[in-house]
Amino acid sequence: MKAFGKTVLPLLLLSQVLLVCTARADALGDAEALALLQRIAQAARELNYRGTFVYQHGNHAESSRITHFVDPSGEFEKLETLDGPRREIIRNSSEIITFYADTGVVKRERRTARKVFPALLPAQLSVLTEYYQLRKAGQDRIAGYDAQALVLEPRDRFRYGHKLWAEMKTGLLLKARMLDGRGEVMEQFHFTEVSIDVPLTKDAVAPRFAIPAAPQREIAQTPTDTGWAVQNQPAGFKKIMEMHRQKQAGGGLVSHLVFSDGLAAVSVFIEPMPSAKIVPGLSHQGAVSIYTRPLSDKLITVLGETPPVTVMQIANSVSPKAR
Amino acid sequence: MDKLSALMDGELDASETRREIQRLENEPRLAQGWQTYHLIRDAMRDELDLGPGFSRGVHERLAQEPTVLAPRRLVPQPLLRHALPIAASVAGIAVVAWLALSSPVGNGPNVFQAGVRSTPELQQAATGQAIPAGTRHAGIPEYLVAHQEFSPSTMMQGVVSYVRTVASEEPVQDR
Repeated sequence: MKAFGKTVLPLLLLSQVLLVCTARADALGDAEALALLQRIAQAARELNYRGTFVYQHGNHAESSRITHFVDPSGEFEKLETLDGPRREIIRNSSEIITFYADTGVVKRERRTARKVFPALLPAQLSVLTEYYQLRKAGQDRIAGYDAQALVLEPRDRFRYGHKLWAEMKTGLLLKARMLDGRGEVMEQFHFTEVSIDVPLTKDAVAPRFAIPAAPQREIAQTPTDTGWAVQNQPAGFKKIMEMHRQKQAGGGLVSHLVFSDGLAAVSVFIEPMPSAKIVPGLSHQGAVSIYTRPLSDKLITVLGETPPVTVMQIANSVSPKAR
Repeated sequence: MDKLSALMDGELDASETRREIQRLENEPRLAQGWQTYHLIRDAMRDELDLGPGFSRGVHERLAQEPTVLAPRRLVPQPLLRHALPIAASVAGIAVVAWLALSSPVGNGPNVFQAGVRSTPELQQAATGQAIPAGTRHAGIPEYLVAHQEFSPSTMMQGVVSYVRTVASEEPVQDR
């Protein structure tokens, strides 16, 4: 023990000091980090762009085509898958429509009435730097553009690490990667070809399928108190939304709570126990962990782009609010 | 099993947590224990909606099947030993009796009609069937779309991040 104290301990301390120094060299101040992330968000919102990107997750890699068009009436987006079954997603300020060409099914999801996403407001960003270490990484060339890389390392095991590559001139995100605690890539988005700030017309974002009449929804998807609470979520995850939503296809009412640490979000869905057989447990979709468990006569589904432990801990602490 | 309760309480470190989750995914028996722990904890926290007729129903059922609660069966079950001191209230005792009823040793075909709403996975647990981790329910694609709207990744990438909702499904044992 003595030997340990004399030799190893000073070395450990020295390495800590070195670590702090190197970390400080390219660590970002809160203001600079905020500016970078806001620039990325602004570019995604305000530019016309069109390109092809590859989405990698698990052992899969699939390419899709994306078009983003803006005019005074708002944003219009279209995503078409190029590999596997043909699917198309249309997104505008009021709804998201998914077309499954393989089955002919069209699903419409009304967007929730709200203003700019709260997670990127300055108040939330101070939370962000509390749970992630932000630093600038090197410059890279992505899809023919020079890009600045930004690394967000989690300070605990409840979130994944992120590496973002933003185009130097416009800030548009050209590549994004999510890593787990062992440094394994959970998922990656990567533009292989993109035209930024190009003239487009609204035709470019028109769906290639017929849109059926919107289903009548009895419940407006606006913020409400659902009567449910999460008592013991991992530190840093704040509730950013709570509402009722009507399940599609004549389904019942579902309570939906959303928690975010500014970079990852976790959704909690509480519904009456369906009559169809549900097997509880854990599954994944890309970097999204999904955990389902029964609670009394309710079924709890928690999902988010976080490690499994985060969705499980949240699912395990869902309970009716004390009245 | 003791690691399970530590996992539930968030007391494991990162590598232990990963190992336990891996085991949960691979060992049906553990997954069953995981469900049972939650049942007990929900009961302790008064979160089981048992309904007013529950304990009466259990007692009637017990009267019909007296051999199920043979003490010999109760003693070696550590879960029940831990649960018993907690079960001070009538409802609590009823829950313990119900756990005994639902354990694989005494599964009469109608055990679950004793006044509590049965869930499919509990029935599955009761018959000792394996619970595969992560068989997903039909609502999940819809939930993925609903979630995506609030994900900061959508703020930074727009509709690009929605590719998650139409991407090929991953086999459960992928990781």
